[in-house]
Amino acid sequence: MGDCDRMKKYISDYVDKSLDPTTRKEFENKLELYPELRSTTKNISALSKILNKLPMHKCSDDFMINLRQRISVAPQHSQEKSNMVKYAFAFSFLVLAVITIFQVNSIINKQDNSNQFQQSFENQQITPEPTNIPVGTTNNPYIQNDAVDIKPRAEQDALQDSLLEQKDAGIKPQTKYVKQTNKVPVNK
Amino acid sequence: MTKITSESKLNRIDSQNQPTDEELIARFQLGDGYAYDQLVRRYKEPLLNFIYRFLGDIVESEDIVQETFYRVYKNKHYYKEVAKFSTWIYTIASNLAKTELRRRRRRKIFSIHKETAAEKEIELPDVKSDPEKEVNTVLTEKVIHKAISNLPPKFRQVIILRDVQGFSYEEISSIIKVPLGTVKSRVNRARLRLQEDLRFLIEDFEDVSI
Repeated sequence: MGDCDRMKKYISDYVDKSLDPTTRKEFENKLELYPELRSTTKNISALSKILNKLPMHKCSDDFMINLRQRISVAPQHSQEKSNMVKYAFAFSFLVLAVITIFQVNSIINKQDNSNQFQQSFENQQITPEPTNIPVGTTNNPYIQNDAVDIKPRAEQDALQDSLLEQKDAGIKPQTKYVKQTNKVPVNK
Repeated sequence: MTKITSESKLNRIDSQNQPTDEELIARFQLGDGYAYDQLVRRYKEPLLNFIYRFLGDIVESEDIVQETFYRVYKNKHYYKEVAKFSTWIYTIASNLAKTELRRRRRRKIFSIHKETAAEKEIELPDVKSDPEKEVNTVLTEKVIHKAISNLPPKFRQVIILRDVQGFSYEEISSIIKVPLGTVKSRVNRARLRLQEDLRFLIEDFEDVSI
């Protein structure tokens, strides 16, 4: 009986003549063995023929008219729809363009401001304010390297001597600070 | 591989010195409205019967056929000649019919009582009763139609396409987008169920040889 059930899955293929020769032969052997399988196969074969002969229903007489009407009305709607889509696209493009312009503008402004700051900062560096800190005694990075002119000790001593001589002679000294010490500037 | 060479009923029409469906749709894509009319005339009845057997309501079926042709008109440029036109149009119709079936199921939830009352009116006759023996009579058709309607949709769809519409298994596989093996299995199971329900009718059918 289990064999009969197994064969049932081949019924349609057998009826449609799409079984391979080996399986077909096996199936035909089982047909002779099992009357139930034979009866089911016969019924399915008949069923296919019956279904194929079912009467065809016809469409109503105004089918074509209705279809043409539907088609003739539809493009207007679709035209309106497509116009709306076009307007929506144009509007969103406009909004996007305006936003982009604002963004670019703000970026440019930011860059200008930072440039101005940089410029003024650099200007401050170029013209440092006069200071009382003796040359070579500061670690302040804002003072240009030129200003921190650390001279050898002997040279400084010589310079101090010459300044003292100039002072004695009544000549105004040219340099504000003389020595790399924490002492009071010479001209004061 | 299957040896089935049976073409659908539609393609048999094409072989009689008439332009093929693919030629007609190609002409329609180029703007020939007459080609579209020819396609409508060729397919409106087969589609109506396919949907009617599937849904069971002739008025609704005609609406769906209208919708199918309208979609063909609107989306004519989407058709590419890699598939048969019949496969394409049946896929559209099949999808619309399935959508309608889903919609109905949702509606059914709210009107179960009405549905059961309607079903009682057209119950299958008893096996031993005296049914019409001619297939083309109204009563027999109703009985067969009812038996088909009782099948689950996935079996109903394939049995209609295969036995009522005459499509090959490969064509059905393309239309419903299901593997060939699954189609064959569904057809076989649908036939087994139908022959159980319609045994009283089939056994009187004389033109049978296996």
